[in-house]
Amino acid sequence: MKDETTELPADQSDPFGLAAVRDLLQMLERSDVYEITIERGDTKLHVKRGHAGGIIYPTPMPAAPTIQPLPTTPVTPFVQPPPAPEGPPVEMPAGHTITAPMVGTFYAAPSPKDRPFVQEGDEVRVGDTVGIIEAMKMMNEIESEVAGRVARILVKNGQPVEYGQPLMVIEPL
Amino acid sequence: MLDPVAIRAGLASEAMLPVTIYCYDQVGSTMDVARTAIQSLPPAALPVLVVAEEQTAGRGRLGRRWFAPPGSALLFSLGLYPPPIATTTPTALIWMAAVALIEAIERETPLRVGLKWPNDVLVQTATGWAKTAGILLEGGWDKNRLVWAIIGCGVNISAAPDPEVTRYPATALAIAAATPIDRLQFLQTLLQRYDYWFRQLQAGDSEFLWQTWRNRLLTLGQVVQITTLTDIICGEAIDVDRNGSLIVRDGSGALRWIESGDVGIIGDHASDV
Repeated sequence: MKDETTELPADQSDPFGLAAVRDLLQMLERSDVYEITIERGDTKLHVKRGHAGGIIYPTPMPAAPTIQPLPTTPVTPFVQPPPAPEGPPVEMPAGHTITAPMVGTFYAAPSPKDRPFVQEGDEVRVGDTVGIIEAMKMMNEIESEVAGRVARILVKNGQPVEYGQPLMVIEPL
Repeated sequence: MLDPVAIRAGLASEAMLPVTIYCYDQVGSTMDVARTAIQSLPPAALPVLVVAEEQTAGRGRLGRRWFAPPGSALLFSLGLYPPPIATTTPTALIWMAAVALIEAIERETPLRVGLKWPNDVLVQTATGWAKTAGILLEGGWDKNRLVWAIIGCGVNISAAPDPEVTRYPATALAIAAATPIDRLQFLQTLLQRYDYWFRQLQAGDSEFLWQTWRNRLLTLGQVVQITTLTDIICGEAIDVDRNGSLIVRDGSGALRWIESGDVGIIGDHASDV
């Protein structure tokens, strides 16, 4: 069956370089190396595995559709602390930055057929919806916490976003 | 037509939900009515249940249309302020919606019921697993906390949608079970299960709910293909984590954490699931 969502571009902006981190983690997992530091200009990326020889991911539990004893892995909160990128931040216009409250997929519009909630240059009021982040089929509306003008939109429709990732900058009027 | 008095008559007097019930012959979308109700009702009047015989603008994920002939489906939205534990782990509400529906179907029909990650409730038919309901959640956030949520649910009771317009094999409970289903009784049973799990969450316990949800996933152990807007991921679904993310081992052996996307099941068990 045709999937109406697959036609959108795969282009992503990735201000934290998270794609690079993800690639590094996958490389680490497949190798004996457990620590890598990459420096380029004034940007430094340092990735270290939790313990030598292990995997950085939480231990998966065996899949079984039957009742199992309580797993002992610690509960990870849905909302996690924002990543602390090393090096200078991406240049951004002055103003209030709206960040992602969760990990998920960013949507700029209510559906692929609709216009985006906001575009650069639009004025927004407090409480206006500026985007949706979907996590596990829950559509989470992201509202502007300030009134102003949308100075910069930092994410693309359909882009995966991390907790705390800047979504857009609102310039107060 | 379903009415608030009749619905209330089948619920325990001490039930925490719903506090307010609205029933309509026809609405655009029960999601929109519930949204307005959350904004206009005092907090003590929530959770609010909005039921409609027919929707003229019913919707699913990503604005996909939801069709059902009048009176053939159970169409409702439940608007609520999330229990404290769900303000930071909102996926608990997704588990609640899916698990309550599974339990209601098992109580009211002889059907075998399963779950396709994360919240597609399937029933077993002579030709394989088929979808009989759609669940949609919408939530509003303020300062990194979920402040309101609406669980939308459409259950095919007596008529299945045209297979030409559905993305997955679909059926209706009365067709799959080959027995009439009383919509009112089904709704009351479903609300009782919602109430049970809502109380668990209000008490701060999402562990049993997560376990129950995880144990019902048909997806685990299967080879899956996940279609996101930007990617197609193929691999074995090995588990879910405590946030509900699907953990998939892709062709290179790397583990991928999936938070959203359409999950199709392929491989050896495709005919089963």
